[in-house]
Amino acid sequence: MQIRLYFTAAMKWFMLSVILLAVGCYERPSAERLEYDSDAVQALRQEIKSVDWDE
Amino acid sequence: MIGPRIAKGCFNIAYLRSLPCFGNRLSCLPAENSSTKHTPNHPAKRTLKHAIAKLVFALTALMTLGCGETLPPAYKLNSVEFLRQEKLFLGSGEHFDDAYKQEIGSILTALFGTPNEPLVPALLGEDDPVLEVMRPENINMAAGPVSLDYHGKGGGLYRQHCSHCHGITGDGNGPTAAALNPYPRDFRLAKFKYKSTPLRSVPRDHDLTKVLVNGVPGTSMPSFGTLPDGEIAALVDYVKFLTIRGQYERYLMAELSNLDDGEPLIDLKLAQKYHQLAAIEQPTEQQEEELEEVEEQHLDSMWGVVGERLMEDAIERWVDADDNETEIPEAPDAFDSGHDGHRDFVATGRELFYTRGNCAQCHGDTGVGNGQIESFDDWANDWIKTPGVNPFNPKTYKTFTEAGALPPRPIKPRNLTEGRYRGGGQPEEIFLRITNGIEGTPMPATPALTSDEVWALVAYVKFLPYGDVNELPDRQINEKAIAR
Repeated sequence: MQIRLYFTAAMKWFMLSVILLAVGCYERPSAERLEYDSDAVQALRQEIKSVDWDE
Repeated sequence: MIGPRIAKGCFNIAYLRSLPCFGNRLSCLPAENSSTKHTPNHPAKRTLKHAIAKLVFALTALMTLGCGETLPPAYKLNSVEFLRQEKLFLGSGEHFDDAYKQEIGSILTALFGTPNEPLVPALLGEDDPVLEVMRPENINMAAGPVSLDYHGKGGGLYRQHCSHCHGITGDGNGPTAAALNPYPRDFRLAKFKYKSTPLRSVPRDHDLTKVLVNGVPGTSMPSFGTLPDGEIAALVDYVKFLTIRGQYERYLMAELSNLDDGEPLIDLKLAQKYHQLAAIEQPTEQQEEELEEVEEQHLDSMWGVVGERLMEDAIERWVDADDNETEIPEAPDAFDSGHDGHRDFVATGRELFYTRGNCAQCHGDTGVGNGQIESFDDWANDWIKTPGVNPFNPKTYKTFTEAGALPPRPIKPRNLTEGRYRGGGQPEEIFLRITNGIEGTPMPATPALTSDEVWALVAYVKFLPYGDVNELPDRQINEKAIAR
């Protein structure tokens, strides 16, 4: 009986933690992170530099 | 009575047990009578209790650490626009190749950098006018993580003051955005409501500064008037930076519909081939012809995607924003409330309100803003006009909200009897609202009205919160309007 009571008390804390974490970690649906390819970024920067934009 | 109870301590178990509200519920607490079966102070049981508590604590700590975000802050893709383009040009169920998302990300990063290391896309070098639109020192001060140097100069101003509502990308979808009404502004549409320039023009620095300094009354946008001028200027430049970046991203997405399957926006293999051919010291005639052809294709592609879309479409309009300022003519003498003809002047404004000004259609016959109430602003219209979407049925736009769109809300016409004006309550500011309209909203410009007529409307709008319409001549105009 006593162990069951201790277990219930622990479960209460555990459930509370789970609920708080679930609420805290919930993220609204949002847009994706912008992914990029570092090599392509470098190559593009080179290309952009190599063009004479004044023309 | 309360004193001794506090002295005993609220956690005095004997005392708690004596309370009727707890009673038997405190069975886990030590019993009053040691002869009962409860013996919680037994060392073995105490150890068990401590072990369980430690386990719960460890699990909680583990789960908390597991939720930690370790990735550096990044701009977000305009997933809503990407989805809209897919629905418009490919039809439902079909998608653009995911490689385009990464290519758009690479082009944007090459030109604009990342939130921690932003770049100003000055393609023309030191003389590029874009350096006047968004000054690199200001961009560096506003972007990046929040910081303070030894001289007390702050960095990361945007993240400190703006991003929780407007989002790191300026998409108007920061962590608090969904809870606000109206939603924070999404800069990427390059539309600003309160400005001294006509519709479809970008605002002047002065306009953006004014919004930052004064805030927007009646919304969650606060005043940042206590910030030093330099910090306000830095934030203004960074807002322009995010606007140009966001608009350019939209242009890139619009280009996708013009491409063949798998064709890249900028063909880096073609660029590589061009450089290989150009490096040949003594080319054959065939190689020369090939070089000419490849060069043309390469430059066309670069010009189309970067030169035309970025320099001409997204940036140029900001360079001469000051030239578009709307002039405000002086108000007629009758505008002065002490003038003999003031009441007649206000009455003229009231007549225009119901007739040629067409104000009553939205603001309602009595000006309380209860006219047309099912319109949406352009930030919502941008995607709710996609075929198959009904803004009043969430099931039809679930894919958009999952992509990051905020549920659309109808825009409310202003209640003119409150005397609270989002764009500022000075007569000149109201004059501009009526003359130029409000960008991105159903409030139109009034090109058919003369400046004196607009001033008469301003007089009536300013009269509405405080004046009594029964004092005006021809009061039957109001009675007829209300009877409608």
